[in-house]
Amino acid sequence: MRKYLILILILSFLALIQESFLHHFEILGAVPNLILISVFLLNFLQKQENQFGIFAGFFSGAILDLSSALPIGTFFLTLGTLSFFIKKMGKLFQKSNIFAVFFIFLFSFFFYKILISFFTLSFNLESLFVEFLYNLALVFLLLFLIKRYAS
Amino acid sequence: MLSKNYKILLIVLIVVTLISLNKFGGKKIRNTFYLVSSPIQKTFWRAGEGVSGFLGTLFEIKNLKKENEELFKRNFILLQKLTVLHNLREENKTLREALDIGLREKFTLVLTEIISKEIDQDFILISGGKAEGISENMPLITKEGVLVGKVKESFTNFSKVRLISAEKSVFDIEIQGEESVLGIAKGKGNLKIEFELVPKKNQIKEGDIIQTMTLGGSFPKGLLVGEVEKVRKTDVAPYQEGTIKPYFTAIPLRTLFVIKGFVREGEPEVHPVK
Repeated sequence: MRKYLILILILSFLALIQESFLHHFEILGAVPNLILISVFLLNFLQKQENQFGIFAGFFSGAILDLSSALPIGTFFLTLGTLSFFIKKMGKLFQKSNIFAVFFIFLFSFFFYKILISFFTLSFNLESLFVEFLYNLALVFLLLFLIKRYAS
Repeated sequence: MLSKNYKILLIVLIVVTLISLNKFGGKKIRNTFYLVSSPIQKTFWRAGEGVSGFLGTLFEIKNLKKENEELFKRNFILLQKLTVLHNLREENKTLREALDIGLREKFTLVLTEIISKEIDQDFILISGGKAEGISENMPLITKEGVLVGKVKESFTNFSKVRLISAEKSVFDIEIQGEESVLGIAKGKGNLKIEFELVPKKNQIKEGDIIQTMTLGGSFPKGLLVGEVEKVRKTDVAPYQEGTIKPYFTAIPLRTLFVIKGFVREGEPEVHPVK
């Protein structure tokens, strides 16, 4: 129970940070998506039977729904569904493999972007590449830090 | 593991809850969430401005001298134009007095501030909502008179604003170059705006100032939008188009104003609402 409460606080904090603080550090229009990165890492690194990551997906989606102009449920369904997919794809790859990280994050990023653009009826290709690289760089940095200090 | 029937029931329950939230009570829930989160987000927004300003200064030091020289030249050109405008204003005043025309425009403004910006769309959250008389489609400007966007959704104490760079944002503009030219500005998302439908015969160049027009009724006339960044012409198309460098991205968006209505004396109050 305590683990879930800490997760709720951390995800709420990350959602507020990414909408208020990180916008001032955009690179060519791209801003780090801390929530997407967190959902990806929690589902990718945890064991298959652990439902923690799926809870993180749905909860963080709910937080983003409240602060978004889109219909309530957009991010809840997107991130919740994405969590399931990341868990399934994690089964197919060996997690220490750098290419596994790359391909699963690539899938996660574009799955997220395509679903959100389905709801917004708009899709901006120009900044997508920069945004993907920016977020991927953060994923690798965090993975490196986790493997170095948490294991 | 849940049985298949329970899973279906759970999915139906989630869908019904989401539809209900969107139809009834969604605005109140969002308003409550903003009431709780806005003090923290405002603090983060200001902290972000401060840190990025400091880092920006460090990275831009080598460009500061060149930028300073260019701004000095531009300031001189603007001062010259100001003198010409001052003379025209005096002439205009004299003519109006002579013709006894008493029309003036004024804005009713509501002071507000930015709280956050959505990560996936060009929308911002501002303080102030229905309690302050803010409603949908009201324009948002900076204290310098730079256009920022239009209120998309108004809650009790907060409002969501669609930036002029948002993908569904379309409005009339006037490009002030050697001659004034009318066109359409369209948001492209990611803080980018383009202009189009400018006749090819009109000469426009990079740096020409762009302001709003009242043709479509979206915004009052004369609000600064930005300047021409790039012009694109082809032999085939009868119109030219290009990109706009929006001014609202170049200034700190802290103190903002919602235009509640603009009034011409002698005419009934007109709200820029469609």
